[in-house]
Amino acid sequence: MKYTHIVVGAGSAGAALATRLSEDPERSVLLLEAGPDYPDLETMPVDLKFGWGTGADFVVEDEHNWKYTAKSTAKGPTMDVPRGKVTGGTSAINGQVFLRAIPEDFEYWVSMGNDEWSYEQVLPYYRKLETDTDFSDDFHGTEGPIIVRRHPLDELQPDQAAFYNACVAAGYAENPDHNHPDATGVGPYPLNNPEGIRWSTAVGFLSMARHRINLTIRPNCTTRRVLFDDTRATGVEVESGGESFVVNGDEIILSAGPIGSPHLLMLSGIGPADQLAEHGISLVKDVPGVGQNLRDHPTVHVSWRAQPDVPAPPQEVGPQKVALRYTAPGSDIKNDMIKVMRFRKIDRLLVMSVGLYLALGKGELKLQSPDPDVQPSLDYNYLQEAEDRRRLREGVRLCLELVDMKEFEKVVGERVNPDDAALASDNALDEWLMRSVSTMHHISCTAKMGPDSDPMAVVDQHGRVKGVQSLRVVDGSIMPDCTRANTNVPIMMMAERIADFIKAGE
Amino acid sequence: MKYDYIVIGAGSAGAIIATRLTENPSKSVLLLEAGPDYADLESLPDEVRYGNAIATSIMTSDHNWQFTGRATDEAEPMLVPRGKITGGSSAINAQIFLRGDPGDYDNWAEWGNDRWSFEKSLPFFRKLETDTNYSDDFHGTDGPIIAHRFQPDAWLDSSKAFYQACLDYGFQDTPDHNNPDSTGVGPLPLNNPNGIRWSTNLGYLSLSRHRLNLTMRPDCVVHRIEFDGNRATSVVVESGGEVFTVEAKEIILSAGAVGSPQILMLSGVGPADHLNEVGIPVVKNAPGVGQNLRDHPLAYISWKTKPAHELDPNDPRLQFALRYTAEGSEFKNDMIVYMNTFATERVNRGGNRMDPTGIRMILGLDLEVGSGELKLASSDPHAEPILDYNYFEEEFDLSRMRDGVRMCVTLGENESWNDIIESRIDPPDDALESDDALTDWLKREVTTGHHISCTAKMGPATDPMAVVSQTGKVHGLEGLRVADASIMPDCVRSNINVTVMMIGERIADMIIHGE
Repeated sequence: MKYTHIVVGAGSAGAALATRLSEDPERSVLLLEAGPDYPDLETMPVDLKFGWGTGADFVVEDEHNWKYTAKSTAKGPTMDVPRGKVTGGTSAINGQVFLRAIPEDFEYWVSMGNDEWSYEQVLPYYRKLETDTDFSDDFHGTEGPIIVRRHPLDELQPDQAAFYNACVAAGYAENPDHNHPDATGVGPYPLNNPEGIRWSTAVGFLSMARHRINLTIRPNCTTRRVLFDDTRATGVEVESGGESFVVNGDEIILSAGPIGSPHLLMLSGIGPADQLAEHGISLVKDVPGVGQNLRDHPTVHVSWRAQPDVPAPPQEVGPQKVALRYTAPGSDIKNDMIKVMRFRKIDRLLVMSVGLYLALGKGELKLQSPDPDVQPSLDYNYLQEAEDRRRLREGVRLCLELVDMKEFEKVVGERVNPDDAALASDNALDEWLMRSVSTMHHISCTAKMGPDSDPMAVVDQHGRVKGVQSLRVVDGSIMPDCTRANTNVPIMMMAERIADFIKAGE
Repeated sequence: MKYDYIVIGAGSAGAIIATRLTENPSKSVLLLEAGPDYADLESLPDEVRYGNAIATSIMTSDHNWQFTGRATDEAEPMLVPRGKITGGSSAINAQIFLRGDPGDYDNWAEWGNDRWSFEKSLPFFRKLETDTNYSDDFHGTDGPIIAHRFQPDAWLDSSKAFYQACLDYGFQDTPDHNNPDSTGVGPLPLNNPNGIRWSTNLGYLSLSRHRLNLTMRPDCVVHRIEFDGNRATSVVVESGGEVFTVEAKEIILSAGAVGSPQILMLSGVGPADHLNEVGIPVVKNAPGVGQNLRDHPLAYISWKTKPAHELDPNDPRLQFALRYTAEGSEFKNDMIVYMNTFATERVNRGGNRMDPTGIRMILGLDLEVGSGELKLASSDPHAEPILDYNYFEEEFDLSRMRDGVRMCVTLGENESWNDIIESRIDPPDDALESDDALTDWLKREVTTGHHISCTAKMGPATDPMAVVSQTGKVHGLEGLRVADASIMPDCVRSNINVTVMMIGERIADMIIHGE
């Protein structure tokens, strides 16, 4: 038996892709997922079902997590990198920030030779995937699988209200809809958590498709490698219940994420020839870009004690996430910075995170072992670029300025981090940044798309891996650069768009 | 996409066939089940997981097709539970792990099915079981289904009293009902280790559900099989309110003695005149489909117990059985009496599985002479078929049951019951006054033994009523088999689950060997 498509990974991209492809009953789709599957909300564990947690909360304890570790900088401690290992992938464990990449991101992608990815071309797919319960216009969808809402300003908790009001008082634009193409400034994040439920691609997409007889969802199946006949991908080797199986498909689509997909490519013989040789993996195709160009949003957390009478947000409200998007002073990259604040209940700290939404620096992913159970090495290599350090330093100082404003008077107490010594000079602050910087969980771009003229491009604009046949990558790996937005929505959009490419025979 | 095999129904036979066929990684199997699937013991609902409940307890459960049937003209409509869940009826049954009499299988062989003699079936009986009490030439020790018998220290008082009463009556002591020569009274073999109903879902699918070449699809209702000429090519199946068509090189119907003939007829395979009547285009005139409906009719002989006799709903309810040959009968072991140590009123008469009425003996006619029929009520796949069990059309069936009732009444008068029985409830004294009175009572009270079978019987092509060959292939068609209780030529003299599992093992083996 041979499926028409084997999709490896039921995450933000894979679940959407499998759903769209199986709309055509002539196509048979096998969707492989390494983690478990929960077919409905009733059987879903509470920590997945409800979106009360944030990225930082599920780093260690969540069992639905690949639990990777990584190097942030030469000075930082080993960094936990959670990635979803469950149907829905990381969309099933994430912070549910439903933010689109901005038109300028796509201008940039087009300028790098990806002319199928202009904002005008991707907008229909943004609209297709969402049901925005607050806005319905030319820019928003009203009947897509993922449900989006924003916390109304009059329902903000005191800490979030203070943050919002301070930003406004500081002169930032009030921004009721962060997903408007012209948006900048402060406003509540759009969140895909209607009634507190984390509306993952498992909930939004697979629930529409899992009854289809031409879609076979196989959880608890770890894909070991892609199999080739010469340079044509023919199937995958999969481990299930301790046994190894071979399954064949007309086309293999890797949607295993920016860690899993390049890892699988290399285990299958596609990657930098020298790295593969080092680990004794037979080369199918020398593709130097695999694992390179690792991008993320580096972030640091500035924190204060909450004043005693500031209430912790009730669990059912969850993190409200008012967000400030702004352009760093002196930067020509629009909306290159992000600030978001949360009340950390465990120690009653108010934590303002400042992140680079478009870093200049990049890291790399490398194979450590031919054993598929050994994770690849992840070197995020943050803040190597002076401009990245400068923008983040100024971002930290801007946090302090905001908190000094009267809007925060009754909310914020003593500062915990960084201490005064770290703020004494640019060098001291850089030192603190290099020790403290961490991931915003948006690893991407490790198998980037691009024209044939770019030797580091791994896939073409339709996700097809260069130099081999019948193999695509569709997930955050193929972004040419990170988006100035949390990556979940752009990844879902890319899956919607490539599903249409596939249906059109492209 | 085309599977090598589609198996319709994940029950006593289908779960086994799917498991055995997928032992070869190059063969792909789609296993379709109308009910839900529970992938492990932890997620299994208690009513399915724990086997102390007996058939009456699951009459109204969600995991049940909830058919109704006609017993006789005098009886009320009869509840016919059939499992609608992975494991099928093996997931809701009473777990009686009893083989038929060797003569049953030898009869099948004599009727033109020489592959099914007891001797040739025995390896497959052994293959499917792990008998924790006996290991010898007749018993298996490493099969997927675990069987045990309650040991003397676990025998309940009324089990002991029944045992003693039968011995006093002159019946033989039978420590192993699955010995081919057995007859008489003894502890029942039961597939419920530690109280867990060891269904084919637990026993078999747990061995295979991880296999990538096995695709299990629960909650899928089959509408019909489609043909290209006389070759079965695909299955039309409803899932999530949508209808899909899925192809296979071979289709195996294991939908049970109700579902399989129903799907055959919905697909145009059945008695031509009946198909015309319900407006289904005839693919193949097969007059035997739905005919020859067999079962084990039951009668309940029940007693009120003394106040000091404890009735615990969580105790095992069936520990012992008596198999005997009716007086004047040429069929060995054609009668069975189960000792039901915790009796409840029937569900359709307002009963509840936890409220005891006392104790009872369940008298079963294990080899009927009469038969009934199954017909379609409509061409709608969601319409329940008409099940006419047509009990007691034959005087010999009635006379054996009358004699059996009187014998049970006598057994209940043994002194072994002195501390247990207060008074007899059923049959009442007036029903015992004459043959006519007892006949009337039986016709009113008779109900199903839950062993509907034989509705698409196997036999040589020379038998116009045979639906399938002895390899399960539907006569006159290609690419289509039936493998479940439907294909039994006559009912076996025992509960049928073990025999149906044996049929699953046997036909899987035939398919694997290209037969």
